[in-house]
Order: sequence, then structure tokens, then C-alpha cells
Amino acid sequence: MLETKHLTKKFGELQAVSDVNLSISRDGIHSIIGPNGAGKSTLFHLLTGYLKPTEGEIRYNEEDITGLAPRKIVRKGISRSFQIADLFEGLTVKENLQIATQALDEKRNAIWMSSDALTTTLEKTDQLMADLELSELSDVRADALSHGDQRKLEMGLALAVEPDLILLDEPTAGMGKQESVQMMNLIQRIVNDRDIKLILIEHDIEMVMQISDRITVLNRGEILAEGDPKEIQANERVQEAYIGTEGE
Amino acid sequence: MIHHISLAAFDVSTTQLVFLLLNGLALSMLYILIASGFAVIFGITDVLNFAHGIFYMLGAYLAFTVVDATGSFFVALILGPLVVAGLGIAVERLTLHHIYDRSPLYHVLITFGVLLIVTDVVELIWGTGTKFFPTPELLGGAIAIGPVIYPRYRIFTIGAGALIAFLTWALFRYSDFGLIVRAGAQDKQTVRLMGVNIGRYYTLIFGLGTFLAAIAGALAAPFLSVNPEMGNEALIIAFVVVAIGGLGSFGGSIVAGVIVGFVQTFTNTFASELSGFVLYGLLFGVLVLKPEGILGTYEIREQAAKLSYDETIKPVNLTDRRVMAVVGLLLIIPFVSRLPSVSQYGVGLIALMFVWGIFALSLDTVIGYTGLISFGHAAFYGIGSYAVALLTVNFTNSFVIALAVAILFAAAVAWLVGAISARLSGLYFAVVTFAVGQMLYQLALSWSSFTGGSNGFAIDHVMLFGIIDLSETFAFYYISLLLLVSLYYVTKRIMDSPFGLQLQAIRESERRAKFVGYDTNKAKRRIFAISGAIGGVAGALVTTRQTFTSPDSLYWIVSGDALFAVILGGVGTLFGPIIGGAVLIGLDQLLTIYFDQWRMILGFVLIVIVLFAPRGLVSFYYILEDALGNDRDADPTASAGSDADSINGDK
Amino acid sequence: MLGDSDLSRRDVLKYTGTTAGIAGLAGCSSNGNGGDSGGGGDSGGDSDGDSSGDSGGSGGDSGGSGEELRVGFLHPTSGPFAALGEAQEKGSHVAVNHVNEDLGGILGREVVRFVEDTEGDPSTGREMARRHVETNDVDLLIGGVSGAVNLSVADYAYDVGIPYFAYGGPEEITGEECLPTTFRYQYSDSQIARSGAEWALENLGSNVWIHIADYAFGQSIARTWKDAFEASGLDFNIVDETQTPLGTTDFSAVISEIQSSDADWVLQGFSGADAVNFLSQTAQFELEQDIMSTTNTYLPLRQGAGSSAVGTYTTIRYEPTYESEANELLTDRYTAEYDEPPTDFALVMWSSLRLYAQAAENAGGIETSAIIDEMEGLESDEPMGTTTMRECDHQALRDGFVGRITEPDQYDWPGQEIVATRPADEITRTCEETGCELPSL
Repeated sequence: MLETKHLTKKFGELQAVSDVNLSISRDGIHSIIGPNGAGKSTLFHLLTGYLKPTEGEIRYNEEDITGLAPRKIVRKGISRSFQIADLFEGLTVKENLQIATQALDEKRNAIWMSSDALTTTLEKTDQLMADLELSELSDVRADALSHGDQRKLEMGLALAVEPDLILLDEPTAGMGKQESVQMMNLIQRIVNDRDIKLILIEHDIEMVMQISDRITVLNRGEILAEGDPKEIQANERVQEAYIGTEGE
Repeated sequence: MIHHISLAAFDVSTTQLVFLLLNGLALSMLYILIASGFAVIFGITDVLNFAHGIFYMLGAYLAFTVVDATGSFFVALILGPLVVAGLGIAVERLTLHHIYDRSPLYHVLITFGVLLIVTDVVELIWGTGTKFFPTPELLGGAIAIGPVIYPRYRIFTIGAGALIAFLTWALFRYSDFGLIVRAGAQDKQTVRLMGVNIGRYYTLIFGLGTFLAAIAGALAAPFLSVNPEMGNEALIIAFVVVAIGGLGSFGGSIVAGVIVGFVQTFTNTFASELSGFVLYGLLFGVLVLKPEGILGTYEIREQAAKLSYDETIKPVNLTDRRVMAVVGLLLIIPFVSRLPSVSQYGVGLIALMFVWGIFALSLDTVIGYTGLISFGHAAFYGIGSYAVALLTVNFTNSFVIALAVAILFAAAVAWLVGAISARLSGLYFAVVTFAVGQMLYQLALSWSSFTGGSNGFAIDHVMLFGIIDLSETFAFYYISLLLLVSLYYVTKRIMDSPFGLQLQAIRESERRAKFVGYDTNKAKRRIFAISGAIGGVAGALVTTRQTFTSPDSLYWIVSGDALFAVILGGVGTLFGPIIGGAVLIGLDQLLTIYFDQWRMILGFVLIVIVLFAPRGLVSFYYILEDALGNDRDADPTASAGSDADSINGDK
Repeated sequence: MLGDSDLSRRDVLKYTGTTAGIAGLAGCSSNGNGGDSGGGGDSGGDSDGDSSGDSGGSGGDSGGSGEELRVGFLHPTSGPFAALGEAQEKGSHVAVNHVNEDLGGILGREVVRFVEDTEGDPSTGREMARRHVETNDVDLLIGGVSGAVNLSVADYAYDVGIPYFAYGGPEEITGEECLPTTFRYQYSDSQIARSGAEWALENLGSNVWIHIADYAFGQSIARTWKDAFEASGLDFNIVDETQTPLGTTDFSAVISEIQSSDADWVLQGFSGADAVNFLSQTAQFELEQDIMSTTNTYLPLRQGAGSSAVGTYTTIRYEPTYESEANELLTDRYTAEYDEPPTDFALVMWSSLRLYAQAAENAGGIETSAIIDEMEGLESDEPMGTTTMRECDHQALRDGFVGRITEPDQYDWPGQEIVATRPADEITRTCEETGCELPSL
């Protein structure tokens, strides 16, 4: 469903992503791993329109979406989360999700009616809060949430726009082991319930191996390897890259 | 022996050419000197230092005094700037140092407060007249350079300017100090992790920036003389040069200094009637074509300008009984004024407070709700003002028509400004809006056949429905109150709408708003148009009242005062800024009676508010409410009052 | 409250307006914080707290002004004209004392001085005029420096029907925008131009470079001097006409241009900081051409420009050593107070108030229409010679002077010497030329 051809991004001399050819199918969870600076987040930025590629092409469901603005890509059904949570910090949990949900409503730009009159939006917001187990925190400001709840809300903002494909950038970053597992379970449940294709950047190799159906390994902006978890585990170049950079 | 060389379209003799080169070079160096301190401070600390101009001015005045005392220009050239740098460091330590983590809006306001204070201090110490600064003996007179006679002192400033710019550049390029601050500007976290106390470096940078400002002032003094207006000019030059070069790029400000210096010289020589537009025209052109400036990089800083609040204060409802009580009180004041304790002038003053409330309200929709720092709201105020004035003089004195035209024009211009600057955020936005406001100001000054030039012009009385004379105090009082209340209702309603929620999303994180699918640029254009329209109403009312307008209604100080009003009352609360606008105009009128240096007092008030009560006067009410155990009746008027009572309310 | 055709607007104000001021207002509306209103009593304008105690701030009581004659002075004591405003303020202080002490007040009533700051801004000026009328309850207005403020105040004064003595020079004030309530003892810009133009063409040469600041005052100088050149009937050649925006600090481009032209002299069309910068830069560039101005006579300007003004020419508005009895009195009173010579600003405050005093005495009251009747054609011996207030446009007719700035002598700053005197009727436009048609009161 998502394909890239010769996708390349240069920052001056630095090739952050170079000649990446991805082909991601509709089924299962696809993970992207790699050492720090491998270009994972840059790849996400390219896929979601935050950055414009220097070269190459991105196709989604056979349609060329290269260089489209983020809001247009969202409308195509691709949504994302950020590695460092980017929330509407001064607003409550409910307002956060309401804003995101409202973006789908035809009346999102209306100026002469109360936002609380968009009942469908409110219903969806409540449902999403319940799904994320955030209902009790409805009136708490986003910046007052615990780290774990902030990560949940971050994912909630990505989910609220009802995507077909969601890109999560390290959804368990900064969480303890147990919390991470809970979070991952929650993600899997929601993704399954809503039939959303998930692409994941994740640091925790162990977890990636457990939940992924397919894995792409990036290193220095290039694809090092691709395959199912077993193939990746067996791949020597992958082991080298990891031991070489993070193993010590 | 006059040779004619064809230079572009102009026919220029060699004499003229040499003059052009030397004059251009001298002006470029001066601009570079003025801008570099500003660029250094902004590049490292993200502070848009509105006090830059007065530090420049202070440098000149101190040099003047030192020369007077010691007779040595060169002692003055070092001693004066050192003192100013010390002052800069003190200012930074006492104020900015504690609020770097807050929105740049607050930094701007702190420096605006410093500007108000120092301006008055300078007038107090040195008086208001222009001081003649004698050229140092050694550098006096003129020498022959090729075919022309050129002042020695100018040659000296060209050299000195180049040297100072080079030394500053080398300091950043080659010293450890430079390495650390450059790294810190890129990535504060990493530098902190390396065990460097970046805060201390910020203080030093502020000292360096003010030192550069002051030395520029001292160097400029002998050929530009010394007066209290010089700071304003320097500030605008610094602003424009740095924005053209690229905010935060030292190299950019040097390139821009040269470009602006030469374009200005050419314009002065060949098209002097346009010379007032050079700065703004260049700035505007650059910002439209390459918004980040010639050598600027701006993506990195997108998040730097975020405005967020520690506490959420919702606008009060019109049906709130505190509001009703205040409105009720305001309705009967003109009748009470028949009593001997309130004058007609007082009633007129309260009406002016309403108008400033409207103006501050308009700014709050943009700043408080959308997080866009507009530093050019004078533009809409002025447009409203001129719309009424021109319409009344040329067509009709009907208030309804005039108001409609004012709203339409202000909204249209605001929409355009929004369209041009929507892709910018944070401080770039402030710069563009500033430039637009100042360009209109310049236009109003220069296009005198249409605007009456600096004289402005007086108009007939504006009539409502052909029978009610709105220059009459009572009629004006009620129409202003009516408009204030309705506009408050309208804006509150808009802010409660899906669109209003979207604006708050943009304020909190424009990136996220885009990523959930909003067209944030469109939203910014729309809110700017709405805000401009409301600002236009304020301008229209003032002119209706005064039956007069002049370019001063477009001057940037008006924008600064509006910003002040918003913060004073309580940014992002809609009703707070109304109180702020009212209190500001009230304080203004009250203080002018008792003090010549009343702006200094306002400056102190501003700084104290920014440091200790960032949500302004409205937060006092909530503090008070807490302290009194939520007993509302304890102080019914200090809260939502929209007039002078709030002065007492914060005791 | 809307139809006010019967009473003059001022009468309405007189009965409703009081002098408690804003502090009183704040005290009243601040919910029982009445203690403040006592303080409000003396806030009726900063009524000359620094002057002789007996005429100092009163105004606590409301209502009419039976025992006093209240004069509202407008001085830009802050803003771009602050230095000039301060000079004016000194002048009005001395003028009021003179009328009270030497003339025994006006109609036996003590003159009380109120001062407001126009900030040099026409809308503030108008607002302050309003404050004078509504809060200070004044009987006439005097002052303002910039032409813009003068015009906006004149318009307001006419609106409320009280006399206004302008300080600024714009033609319109006693020309197309003349008003029955406006009077001007100050020279008009065209009187100044006609004082200087003919003399300059004869003595400095016929090739003129005109350089002005691009604002009302500068434009007015260019216009009136070109008219005056024409009117002189002499040959003249305008080499070039250039302008810089008001507040320009760097004049190198235009000075270079003048330097390399064949102009004989430059007409300098600006004052204040622009003029100081221009003069000091012409000195640095060692400009060969002579400079003629209308403003270098101003004391603050000479103090500001220092040695760089020496040798330039100027029309003279006031010279403390000019010999007349009236001038002796002025310099006496002024130096006794301030230990420095009086200025043009002082002169205009002094003579304006004296003219009003004489008109009031002649009329036996201060009703505006009676004052106007007596002002028209009034003749008086003033410090710079005999003055007649012309009936057709309310412009004072008096002799004009041309001078040269000289090395410092008695004081730290350069002095001036009168090099020519021009008779009043030769420098003043005829009534027809002015375009003034006084509207009815």
C-alpha cells in the first residue's frame, strides 16, 4: 500500500536518507529499526510531508503523494506520531482529542457556532478517550499528564483522524519495561480493532522481534536489510551494525 | 575633467561615483555596527531586543559626557560602551535571565519596558535638545580622495566599523567562547549536557550585544549628533538590517548592512523623495521572496516562539453577574457625571478607554488565541482612522458607512498581511507585521496630497443616522460602549467555535495542527482579517471622537502600547486585554498630569507585570479570590471591571 | 444634549464641566474609594506648580471662573519638539508673571497658567486642548510648536469658540484655513520667506539649491521661498530641489551633490535634529556654498549645532539685543527668572498674551466676539517693534530681519547679528493673496 522509489534526502553534504526503496503491504505490523542517526525519523518526515525529498517518489495506494503538504497527506489516510510528544500542551486531554477529531468534520472552520455543537465529534472524542483509557483525565491539561499518559495522548492525536495507515515514532520512548509492554498491547488492540496498518519505529529490539511481521533495517540512511524477524535476527550485517554502534 | 561613466541608467561623473562609493561605504559600516549587536543577541538568545536603540543612544550620550569631562574621544569610545555593557548585563540578570523559557513575547515586552525607562532617564539627565558632538581634533577636517574632498572622520568610521565587525566575527569563529555560544544557539540541551552553564553565556552575550550597540552610538555621535530620537532610528535600522540578512545570522546582517547602505545612498542621491521607503521596501521585498532572510535558516527555530500559559483563564460570559454589574455601572456614569465630582472630560476619557479596550481585544485574538506576535497592529488602527477621515472629507459623514468602510479596508489589508506572513511563525511574524505598519506610516507621511502628510487633517463631525453628533461626549460614550460589548460578544463567540478551537491548536502547536489536517495558513489569514477589522473599529472610533487623524496613528509605538495593554490585562482571556487597554489609557492620562517622566513609570509597571504576573491584572483577581476563600462578594468590581477601578483593584 | 445651537458649546461645557480631573473620577467610580477625590482637587492641569505661589494650582472648586482668567498653554515638553517646548514653557511662565505683576492681571483678574504637553503630536495636541477646555476651564489657548499641532488645535478652538494664539508658521493658519478665533503674532512662513529671499538673491547669488525635510514645514519653506523669489522680480535659478525624510541623520549624499554643483547657496528647509546633523556634516565636508535658513536663529538649534552653525545666514525671529523699550522689559524679566537671554519662543508667548490682555481691557470683558472685534486692527509696541493685528486674516504685521550666525561671544553658543531689516508691508502678502475668508464665529 505504501511504496518509495529512490527516496533521498540531503541536508547539505549529509545524506540523511539515501536511495530508499520500500514496499510496504497492507497486512501486519511493519517495523523500522536502526542505530541512532540511521535516518528513521527523517524517513517518517518524508513519508508524512514534513520534509520534502531531494529525490525520489512516494506512492500511496498507487497514488503519487510526493511533496504533498502534511494536511493533505493526513486526508489521504496517513497519520503519525512524533518521537517527542507534540501535544496541545495548554489544553485539556479532551480538547486535544476534540481538536484532532474535529479536523474531519465539515464544519471544522465554522466561526459562528459553538464547537460543542458538533455532536458527532464529541461522541467520537469520548469513544477515543475511553479506548485510550484516558477518560478519567478528560479535564487535565496535557502538560500536567504523566509521561506515559502523554505518550498515549500523542498516539490518540494520530488515531483521532481515522487513518488507514499510522506511523508511530517510538511510542514507548522513555517508558519502563512494564509500561512499554502495556502500551504495546494497547496499540496492538486498537490497531486490530480499527483495522489500521501500523508502521513502527522502535528502539526495543526484543519487542520489535515479538510483534513485527516485517522489519526494515536502516543504517546511515540506507536500507541494510529487510525481512521477517527471523531473517533479520540471522542477518550478520545487521548484527555488525548494531554491535558496531550500540553494543559497547 | 569630468568624465562621464554610464552607471546603470544614471549618468554619473567620476566625482559623483567616488562620493557614492564613500558615502555608501560609510553608511553600510554604520548600519553593520548598529545591526551587529542586535544580531548577536538575537542569534544566540532568541531575544528581539527592542532596547537596542536606546543602548545605542546611551552609548552616544555617555561618550558625549566623557568627552566633556576628559576631552578625549578615544577614552570615551571605550569607557562609554563599557558602562552600557555593564548596564546591559544588569538588565539581563535582573529580568530576561529568569524568563528565557517563556515565550519571546515576554522578552520583547521586557525590552520594550527597558526602552521606556531609559528613554526618560536620558531625557532627565541630558535634556531633550540635540547635542552637538564636536569631531575629535585628530580626525577633523576633510582630505582629498581622488577627485573629492571627504571628511576624515567618515574615513575613520569606515575603518573602525570594518575592524569591529571583523573582531566580532573572529570572536565567534575562533574563540572557545564563540564555539560554545554557537553550539548553544543550535542545541541548548547538548551544550548543557556538556556541563556548560549556558545561562552565564547568555548574560555575556547580552553584555556584548549592548557593548556593540553603545560603541556604534559613540562612533556615530560626531557625525550624526546626539538626541533622544536617535535610539528609535537605530532600532528600526537594526530591525530591518537583521531581518533582511536573516534573523540570527551575523554574516547575514553584514551582507544586508552593505546592501541597505548602498541602496539607501543611491536612493538618497538619485531619488531622494523615495529615501524614506528604502528600509521598509527592501525588508518587505526580501520577506516576500525569501522570508528567512538572505542568509537565514528558520526551520530550526519554528518552535522557538511558542506562547503558552501556566494557567487557563476562560473569558467570562456577558451574562456573568459581575460583568452585568460593571456594564450597568458604566451605563449610568454619564448621568452621575452631572454631579460635581466627574467632569465631561472624565466621561470622554472613559469612552477612550472603551476604544483602547476594543483595540487590545483585537490584538488578543491574534496573540492570545493564535499565538502570533503581531507588532504591527497600528496598521489596522491607522487604516480605520484614515478610512473615517478620508471618507468624511471626501464623501459622507455617516458613521455607519464610515465604520463599514473602515472595517472592510482594515480586514482586507490584514488578510493580505496574513497571507504574506502566514508561512512565517513566531518572531518572523512580528518582523513582517512591524514592517507593514511602518511602511503604511511612511506612506501616510509622504503621500501628503492624500493623507495630509505629517500635519494630518481635521474632519467634520461624524453623524450617526444623520442626527446624532458622535463628537459629542455622551453620544460617543454610548456608541463606544455598545461596540465594545458587541465586539466582546462576537470575539468570544468566535473563540468558542470550531474555528476558535483550531486557533488555540495553532497557538499550542502549529505543527501538530497541520498533522491532524488543518489548513493553518488559511486559519491565520482569517483570524488576521477578523482581528484587523476589530482594530479598524478602534481606529475609526478614535477619529470620530477627535475629528482628526495624523500619521502618528500608524506609528509602531501604537503597536507597542497595544501589546502592552494585552499583557497588562491578561493575554489570552479576551476580557483581560479590555481591562488592560482601559487601564493603560487611564494610567497614561493620569500620570501625564503628575509626572513628566510618566513613560518611565509605565516601563516599570510593564516589567513587573511580565516578571511577576504574566497573566496580567486578571490574575490578581484570581489570587485575591483564592486568598479570600472564594468569596466573590468580597470584591465585586476589581474583577471584570473595564475601567479605572482596576487601578485600585490590584492593591 | 445633542442640539446645542442656542448656547455656544463652550457654555454647555462651562456648566457641566468641572475641574476635579481624572483623579477625582477614579476616586468616584472606584467604589467608595472616595479618599482619592481630595487628591483630585489639585489635578486640574499642572497649573504651574513651579511658578510664583500665589498664581499656583488652585482649581479644586467647580463651576465658573469669576475671579481668575485661565490661560491654557500648549507646549510639547516631551517628544520630538521637547527642547522647543521647554523654551516655550519658560516663555509662558515669564509672560504670565509679567501680565500679573506689571499689568495687574487682565481686567483686574489674576491670570492663572495651565500647561499641557502636546508631545508634538497633533491628535494629542487636540486632546490636550480638549483637556484645557473641559477640565482646566480655560478662557483662551496659546502655543503648540509644530504646524500640525497648531492646525489641529486651531480647528478645535474654533469648534468650542475660544481664542487661540498660534505659534507655528504654516500659511494656512492665516490663509486658506484662517478662522475667526485664531490669531498669530508669530511670522507666517511667507513673511519669513519674503524677509530672506530678496536679500539672499542680491547678496549670496542667484543660483539656489533648495533642500528640505519632507514634511509640512519643509514643504512650506520650499513653496513660500519660490513664491518669494518670483515676487522679488530678481533673476534666479533653482539648481536643484532635494528632500530627505524628516528625522534623516545622514546627509552625505545630498551634501556631496551640492558640493559638486554650481549652486551659490543652499536654502535649508528644516529645523531641530535634522538641522543640527545637516550643519555639522556640511562643516565636516567643508561645504563651499553658503547656507541660508529660516531656523538657525532658534537658540536651541544654535546650542545644538554649535560651531558648525557659525557663518550661516538666517532670518531672525528674535534678537535679545534689539533695541526697544519693550524688549528691555522682556529681557529684564526673563533673565531675572532664568539667567539666560529670552528666545523667540518666549517672545511669542509674551506678545500673544499681551495682545490678548489689551484686547480684553479694550473690550471690558472676555466674550469671544468682543475679543475678536478688539483684536482686529490692534496696534501695540512689542519687543521686536510695532505690531498690527491685521483684520482680514488675523496675522500680525511687523518688520522682518535677516541675520548671520556669529562666533560665541557672551555665552557658550554662537550668537547672531542683524544684517538687514525689511519693512512689514514688503514682507506680508496682501489680503487677497492669502486666500483667507474668515468664516463666521
